[in-house]
Amino acid sequence: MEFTYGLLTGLIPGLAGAPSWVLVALGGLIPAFITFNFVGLGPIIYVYAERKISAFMQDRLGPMRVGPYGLLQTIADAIKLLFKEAIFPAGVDKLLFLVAPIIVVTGSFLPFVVIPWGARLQAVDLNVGVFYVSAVSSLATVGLIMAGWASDNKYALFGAMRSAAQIVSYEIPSVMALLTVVMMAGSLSLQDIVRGQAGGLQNWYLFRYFPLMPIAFLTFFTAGLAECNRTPFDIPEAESELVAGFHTEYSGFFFAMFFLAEYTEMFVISSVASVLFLGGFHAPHPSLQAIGALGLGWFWLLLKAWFLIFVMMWLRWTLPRLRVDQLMHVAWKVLLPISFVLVVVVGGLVLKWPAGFPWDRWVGWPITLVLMGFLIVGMIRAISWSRRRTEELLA
Amino acid sequence: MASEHRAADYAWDVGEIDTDEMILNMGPQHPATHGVLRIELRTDGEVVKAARPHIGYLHRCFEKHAENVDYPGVIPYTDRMDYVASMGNSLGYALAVEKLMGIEVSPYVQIIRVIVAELQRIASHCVAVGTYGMDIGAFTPFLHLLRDREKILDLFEWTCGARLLYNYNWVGGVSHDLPEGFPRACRDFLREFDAITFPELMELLIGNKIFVKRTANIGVCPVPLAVSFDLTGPNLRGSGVPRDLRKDAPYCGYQNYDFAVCLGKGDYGPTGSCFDRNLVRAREMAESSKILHQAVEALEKTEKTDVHEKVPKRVKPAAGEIYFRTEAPRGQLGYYIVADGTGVNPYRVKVKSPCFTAMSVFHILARGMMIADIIALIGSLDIVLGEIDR
Amino acid sequence: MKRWFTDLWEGFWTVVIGMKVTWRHLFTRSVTLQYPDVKWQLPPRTRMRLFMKYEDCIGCGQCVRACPVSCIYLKADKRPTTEPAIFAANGQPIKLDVHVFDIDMSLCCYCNLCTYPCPTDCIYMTPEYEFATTDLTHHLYHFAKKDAKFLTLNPKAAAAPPKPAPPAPPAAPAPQAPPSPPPASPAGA
Repeated sequence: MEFTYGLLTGLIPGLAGAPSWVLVALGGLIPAFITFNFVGLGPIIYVYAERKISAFMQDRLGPMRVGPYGLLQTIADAIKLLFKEAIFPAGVDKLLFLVAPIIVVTGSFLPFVVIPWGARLQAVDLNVGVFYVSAVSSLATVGLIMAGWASDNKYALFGAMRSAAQIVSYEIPSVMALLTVVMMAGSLSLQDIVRGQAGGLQNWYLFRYFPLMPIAFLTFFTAGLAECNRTPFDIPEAESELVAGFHTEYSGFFFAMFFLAEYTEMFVISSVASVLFLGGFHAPHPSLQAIGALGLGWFWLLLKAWFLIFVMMWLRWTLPRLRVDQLMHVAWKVLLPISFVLVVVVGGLVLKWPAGFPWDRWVGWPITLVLMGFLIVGMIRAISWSRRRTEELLA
Repeated sequence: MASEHRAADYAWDVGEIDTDEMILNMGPQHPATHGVLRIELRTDGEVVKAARPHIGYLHRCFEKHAENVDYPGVIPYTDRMDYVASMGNSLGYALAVEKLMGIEVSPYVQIIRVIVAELQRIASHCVAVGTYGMDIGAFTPFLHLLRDREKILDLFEWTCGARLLYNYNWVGGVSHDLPEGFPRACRDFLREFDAITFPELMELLIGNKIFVKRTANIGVCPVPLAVSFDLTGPNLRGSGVPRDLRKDAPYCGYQNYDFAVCLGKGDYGPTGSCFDRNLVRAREMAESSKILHQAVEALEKTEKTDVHEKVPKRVKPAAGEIYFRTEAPRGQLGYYIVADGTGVNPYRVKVKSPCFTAMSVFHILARGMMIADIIALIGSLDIVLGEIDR
Repeated sequence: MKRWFTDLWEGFWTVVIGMKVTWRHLFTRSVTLQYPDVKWQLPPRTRMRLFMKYEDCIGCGQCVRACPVSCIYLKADKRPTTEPAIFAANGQPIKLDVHVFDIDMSLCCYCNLCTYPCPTDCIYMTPEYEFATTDLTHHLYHFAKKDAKFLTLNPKAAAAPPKPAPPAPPAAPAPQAPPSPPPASPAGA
């Protein structure tokens, strides 16, 4: 915010004399506006990416007709949803019905004001950033329950209740995992957390206290998957289950808003995970920092967040669904104990070794290179097998 | 071995239900019921107290049609019963009529029939396992298996011109000889299936912990229950009973092939769970592949005969009746044919459908399950409504 | 307690193995044919729309009897003997006038049983499968033609003795040279 403020007063000299609330409003609103637009255009890319990635994983092609290689498919779908008739079933509670999608979408957009896209590229640098993020992401739950209740449909209510129970149960391990990072960084502010990871890949919080922080990351990521209602935790929106979920009665634009909220929520979880565990806007090696427009680093954060979104999609198309009670079992009997133990142990370790175990610096690059090696080798083998097979078939 | 029939399970009135209970309808149109099947569930919250399946939405009067067309004309109708695995249906009928008339086909034709039947078994199990994975939520294995099924259907199209409903097994032979180069194409398919598709299926779906957790403890069908409700095929073998008609009452030269009977062993839970039935189907695909390798080798060594040589000009059996059973991919498919000796139409053709008997055990297994598991249970019984309703 | 750990490890490990499979598939070629632009090559034995060559039909009705769904409609009358003889392409004389030969493709089950009994092979399945219409009656194909050009000379006459001429005095035979009498026999057929 100070950055924008300085920029604005520099550009428009007369502005310095305006009443302070105007300056604060402008300094906050303009970055927020830019952020929201930037984030809101994301789902167009994510939906297309999901359809294409799922298609390639299933040996098919995905959208190919609308635009070259189907690039305009999401836009066509969005336009279609806009033009669809918004049906209001007879017994709905009009006000709640209309407000619910708005609350869900708001709840998924709000965390972005504190995500640091660069050293000074952040809408607002709250000194309670992490606390704000976890508080605000629970807002979506309220919207969900409102949607289920207002629908006047027994099955929608079931779906909404299940979904709300799922989100609330997974909040706890998610926040506990975040707490481990906060304890290491010593601050709730996201800028400070990112600053603590400067210097390259080996300093990322993912690799501290070696076996422990990766477990924290996995806990956070799994809990985050559940909060987005993604497979394997997508019982609330499962198409082949009996009840169609909380958004049964929504059509047209309102459905589009729930859809938007889901993909934005995915982006939230990925961004928060990238900021807290994967080094935020720092490049893996300091020399690479200059890549990306203006060298301000948002390119790197985007890349990491997009990679995590890809992993979420990858998991969706690999895994079957967990049943509701198994989902609860995972939350309360697996992730919760793990996260509590982590908080206690990391909390104790921080007293002795504030920055992590001494060998942490040597762990980051080898692990990353080994994992990337597996991925690249798999890719090369798949491509060469596929090419050989095509030649065989044509022979 | 009295089964626990309780009237409250399948004959209730709306007035009888308790205030906490709810009647839920999984209607004829439902993405997960494998056809047009209606299931009425009486549930207490999430737990199912009683289930009542309603069938008959796909009844097309097969047995009446069979009385009005001649013996070879019944074969297209048999194809359409279990439309996912039609080679098996026509094979059973053709063998039944041949036995009635005393026709013996040449070893060459028998080998062709075995090849085609086993390829169809793999294709049918691809659908069964794939759609089961899809019901559980794993979308990808379905598409990988369907890709392999398409390859099998390409082989069939090359042989007889049709992809799904073939009219291939005729009384006294088969409709077309295998085309030139079929052994090579078949081996090509099997090579890729054995090396890639099958291991990937085991890794991606069957071995997955979430899949195991979803299916290994539900729908447990103990052996007495399975036997008393006449479960056959993979459903029975999933409960651990080693009954396979290809071994116990071999037909069509199956005694010459070396293959194992896959059984459910209760690896991750009680024997006879949904997981076991599904595992049996997946493993049977590998066994069929083994049989196919042997059959293709035998094909190349056997002397070629004309596939139409034993096909009678007019199929007019003498008066008599016969019941003949074969191991279709879904279980024991039986044809009871009555010939009255006059005319070219059968007097009566009755089909004993394996899916019909599998469906009959549904209401017992469904008791005490959660709604989400009902879908897993239907998928594990592998029903095709075309065969249940005929 | 130990179960808890093994479950956790197995869950994690099987997920990773599954992810390996889908990662590989991300890079293999897709098997989709983009239909209207690329069409599947149909094999030679393919069974699609039926076709009947009216000039070869002898009106025997074998295909009608063989069809399990009764989708072929045939009406034929005896040809008057005053008309000139007509033949099918394989030499069989056509003794019947086929007024009506309709095939209802909406009833046809594509079983191919009608093609086998045909003595002249005039009915067969073609590779034509893109014949969807918006009107169901368009699927009733009428094969009987009013102005069909039949063969009046037996195409297989060179191989077999010529058929006895109709009762009317033949106009064709030119005065034959005595040294080579025509090899006709009264009962030749």
